[in-house]
Amino acid sequence: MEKHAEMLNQIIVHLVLIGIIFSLFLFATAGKINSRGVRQQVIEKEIALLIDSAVPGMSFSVDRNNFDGIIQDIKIDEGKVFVTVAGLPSVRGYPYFSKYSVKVSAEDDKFIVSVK
Amino acid sequence: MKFDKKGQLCGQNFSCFSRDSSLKRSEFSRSSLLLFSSSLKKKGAMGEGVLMVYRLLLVSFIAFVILGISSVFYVQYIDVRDVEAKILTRNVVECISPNGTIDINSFSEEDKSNILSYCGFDESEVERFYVEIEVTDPKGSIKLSQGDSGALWVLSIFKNNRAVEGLKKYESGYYNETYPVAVIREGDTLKGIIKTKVLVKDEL
Repeated sequence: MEKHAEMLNQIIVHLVLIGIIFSLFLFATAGKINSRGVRQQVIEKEIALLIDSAVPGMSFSVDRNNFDGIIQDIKIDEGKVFVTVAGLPSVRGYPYFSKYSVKVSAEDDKFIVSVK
Repeated sequence: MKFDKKGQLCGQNFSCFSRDSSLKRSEFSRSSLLLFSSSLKKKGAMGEGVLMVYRLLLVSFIAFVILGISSVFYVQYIDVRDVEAKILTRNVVECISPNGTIDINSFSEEDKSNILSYCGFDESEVERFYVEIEVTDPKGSIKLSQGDSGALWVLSIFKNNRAVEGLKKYESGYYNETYPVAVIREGDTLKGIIKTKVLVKDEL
């Protein structure tokens, strides 16, 4: 009886641990499949190209509720654009080569990117 | 084996033991058996634990392999290097020939080989670019450039279809264009042209 209980205990521990591993794996795969990374890449590159094309005094707005997903944050750091889309923070960012200074300000439903 | 009259246990191959001592011996052997079996159980439990770690590692490994394969399968590569080359060409041409006029004498020898720095671009931001500009007028021509010219040789491999299909995504972004321009040379204004070649090596 005791042996059976021990075996059952071990099986349950196994199943729980394997379940945790596979749920982490499924979440990571779902993250890839729902293409948040691709949409993030699209927005970052679009913004970088707009910054490169802009001349001083120009500014453009990016809606939070974007076609490519809900944008939580846009950051400019060391010549790179970092965009957080649908909860996915940007790790690498995308570089722009504009020689002008760039600033981002957040408003209620949009971000304003200004080139000075 | 049998007990003799004195209450001793006698066997063929061993000496006689009293009834009490034989009882003690049997108790001892039972307890030692219990100890032995409990140590076996401990060892078994340890072995089971090690096996569990091994199984978990195996499951994690399989999960990571599947994740790695799926992440490679689902990755999308959006190439904007051609557009970047086009934008940089426009920026550099506007820099060296504002209002469509270029003063040849305004470039020092250092500027001629560092044209992006001359235009105010930060050197760290333009490491992946190669820019070559040739200004030609009836009296001569000058060449302005910055970056590694070997990148053009690499590009020619792709342009001549010498690269295999899997390597084509590493093809550099490229843009070349010719613009008419007014060239100021030794005080004279001449009709000339600007030939541009801009190459974007890798996409970060």
